[in-house]
Amino acid sequence: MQQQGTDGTGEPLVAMRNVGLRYGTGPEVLRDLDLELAEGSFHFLTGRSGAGKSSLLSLLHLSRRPSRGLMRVFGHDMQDMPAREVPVLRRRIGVVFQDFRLLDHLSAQENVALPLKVANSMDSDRIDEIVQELIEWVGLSQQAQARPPTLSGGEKQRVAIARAVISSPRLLLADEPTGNVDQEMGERLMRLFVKLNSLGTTIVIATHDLSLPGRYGYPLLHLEDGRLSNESGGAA
Amino acid sequence: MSVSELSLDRDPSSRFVPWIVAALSLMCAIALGTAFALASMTADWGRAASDQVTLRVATGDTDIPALVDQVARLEAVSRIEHLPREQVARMLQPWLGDVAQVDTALLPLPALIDVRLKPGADTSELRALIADRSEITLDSADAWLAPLQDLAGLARLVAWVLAAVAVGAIMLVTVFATRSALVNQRQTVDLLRLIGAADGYIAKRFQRHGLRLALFGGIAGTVPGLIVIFFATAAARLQGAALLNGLTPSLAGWLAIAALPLIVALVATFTARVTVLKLLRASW
Repeated sequence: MQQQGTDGTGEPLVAMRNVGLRYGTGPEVLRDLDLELAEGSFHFLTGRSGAGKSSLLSLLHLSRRPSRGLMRVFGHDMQDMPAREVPVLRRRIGVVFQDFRLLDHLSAQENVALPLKVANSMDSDRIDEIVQELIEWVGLSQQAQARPPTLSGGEKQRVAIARAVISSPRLLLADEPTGNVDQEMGERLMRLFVKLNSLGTTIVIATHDLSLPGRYGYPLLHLEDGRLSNESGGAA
Repeated sequence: MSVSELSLDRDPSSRFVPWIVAALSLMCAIALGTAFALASMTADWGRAASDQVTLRVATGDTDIPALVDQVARLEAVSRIEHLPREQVARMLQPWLGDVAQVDTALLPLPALIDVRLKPGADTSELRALIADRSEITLDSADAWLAPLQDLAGLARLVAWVLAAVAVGAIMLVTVFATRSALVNQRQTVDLLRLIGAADGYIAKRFQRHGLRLALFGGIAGTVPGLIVIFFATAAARLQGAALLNGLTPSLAGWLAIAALPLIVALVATFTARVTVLKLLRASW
């Protein structure tokens, strides 16, 4: 299954060939995946509960190595990738989790700043500047100092999105980003993703909401029993 | 952005670590104090014994002044003294009672010649001089001091082993506390890795935490340890036994014990780092 378009070098951002994933000695939860994500593309990832969406996302955000098959991310073979080099690749991937995964003892602003802080690549004044801009961009200037337990679901989601994009990732993964917010907030969040995509970020959104792909018209990756099915849009 | 991502200070598994480290540091400090004090004492014994010998001349017709003159001319000898007969007789007081009441002329007392050797000199010249004179015996402290020095050496070894066991236990406590903290903070650690934190970045947070706990525990244990060593060695010296005069750590020994909190903190820092890196590298 090849998605249209590649980056300038002709190499897709992510390429999978015959990839499988199993947890421990259990059965394969993902099987025979062939997938290419071109730079700047936008995909919806759908499938029933247990179809393997979270497992595929965990491969894409480099939480796991494939159990078999070939996987290249940003031009690097994951099979041979030494563990110490993985963090550098992860910094080019932004992730928005369904449960937000914000740190409750940090303010919204501090949560957003985390990726830049752990990358240790710029001074704290510059980080503060970027965080302020981003907090304004997601419309949370008033809540910058608030801690996550005091924020609403939509506000938490926007903090999580700001954190995911602060390092200007080339690939943004979002797991059910509209699942915990009302429809209006869901639309606002989707407009944020579309805006990011227009700025060049490759986006994969996992969702149960089958109306989303129809409304936005982006290609669909549909998982069924751990396999990408023929329903997926953009098939080669 | 000064707040740490990992709230390790509130981690319940670390609550008792400083006090366990303090108890182990106290044990380590006392063991080191004992080892250093014994080392000073035995060195003192060695110095005193090696430069002082006694020539015991059996009653007879030996020309004592001539012998004294001969011995004094030896290269190795720094000072010589023929002990007066009254002083020799006084040494027998524990057995004879008041020697003033005894006619010591009737006693077959030996002549005692106290010989001080130059530093580093040995008794070979002296032994050669008296080799063919059976009425003269050379008494040195080596014969009775050697078993005591062996015993003190064994006690020092035991003290070092105890100190090493205490440091090993501190490492184990650090390993368990770090593993527990890592389990308790697993979600945050996973998140930090997902957003690009290198293992070394995460390990640094744990090693700083380990350093703080161990430094506090090390100070809390070492300070009372120093006090115990000071009073215990002083009390031993006050017993009045000449053998215990040197029973106190040397200046270097005191400084080494005082540095224990830093050593403990470094050990805990290193242990925490290695533990975290090992656990993190077990997963991709």
